[in-house]
Amino acid sequence: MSLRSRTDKVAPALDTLQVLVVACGKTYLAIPGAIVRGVVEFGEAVEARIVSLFGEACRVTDLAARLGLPPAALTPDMRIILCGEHRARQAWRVDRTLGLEDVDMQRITPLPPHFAGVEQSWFTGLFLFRDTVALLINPGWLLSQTMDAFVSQSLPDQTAAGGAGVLDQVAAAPAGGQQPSPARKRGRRKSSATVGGEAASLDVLENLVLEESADAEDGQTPWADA
Amino acid sequence: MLRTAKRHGQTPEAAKPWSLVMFSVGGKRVAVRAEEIGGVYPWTEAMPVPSLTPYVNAVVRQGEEILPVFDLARLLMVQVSRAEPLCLRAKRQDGLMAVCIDPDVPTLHQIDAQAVRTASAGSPGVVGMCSIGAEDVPIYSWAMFGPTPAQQVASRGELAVKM
Repeated sequence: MSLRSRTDKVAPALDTLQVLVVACGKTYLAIPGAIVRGVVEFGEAVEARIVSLFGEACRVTDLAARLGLPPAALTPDMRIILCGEHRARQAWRVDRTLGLEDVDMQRITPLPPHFAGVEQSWFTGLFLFRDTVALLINPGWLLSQTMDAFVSQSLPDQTAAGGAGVLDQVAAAPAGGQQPSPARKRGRRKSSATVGGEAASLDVLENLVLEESADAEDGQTPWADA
Repeated sequence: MLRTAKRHGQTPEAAKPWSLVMFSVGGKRVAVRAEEIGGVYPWTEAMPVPSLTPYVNAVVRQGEEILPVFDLARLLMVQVSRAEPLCLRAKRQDGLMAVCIDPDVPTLHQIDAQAVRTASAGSPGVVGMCSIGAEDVPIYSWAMFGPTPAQQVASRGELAVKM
């Protein structure tokens, strides 16, 4: 499945911003495409709690919960959005993806001043999207979240810490969930030591190692065409 | 002329009757000065916006326009009727807001300024009380919910630190 809504292969114009629109409940959020490094489908998404992105481990965090919304629902549409820029790495669990969108910069308006709290630093603006509205996430804020705690940690460090002890997102996933889509399975799973009598599915999927796609259509959004 | 008016504790503004729009939210009747109302439209579904601003936690789309939603129902601790609620466009200094109200069509009333009583303390947003028909109705002002200049400065400082 392609996330692209446009059919032509022309690079986005300079006055447009390419975003990946995702949903957290009824809230539509747009993540700047420049920081999106990959999208992981349901099979892994539901249970992975730490992913390794280009050699660096990062914890999977529920985006809705981080924003104070009801946490993501466990459905086959759930995804993990891998974000990164320079040394910052983040992995966010969302309810579903709605696709790539080239947004004319002139369509983006600031968050109304009535929102007078810290949310002004979460979103850089909003724009009309389909029959509703999408909020444009501030990439700086998104990538700065918990970065200090994870950017320097290696994968073995996290597994040695006991998994759940360093995680605030507990995946209450059904054992033996759906198999990951072969189309997305570019990475390999790294097996981790089974801890006590914990559910095997959690142990196996706790660490998901992802590698850069080699068959990308373009260099900007290699994750979009899988 | 002005000095005379001040001496008697009256201003030309105080002498004018108040034009009030009365409507209900979750069955509670409230009023707002007509100049603080920008119209009434059918309600369209709001999109929740993560927010730490009290009572402002959604936006609603009206055509090509996006309005922040002021949750008056939450303030009043009631629930708006789900059957075809209306959207009250509320005018505030920092821009229009949408307020979800009951389907009863708002009504316009002229109240003598002297009939407006002082609101009791502890009623946020209420600038006075008046009697409309047999009911005592609180008069709200959206401006009372806006950030004070001091809060605006503090908020900007907080954002600078967060960024």
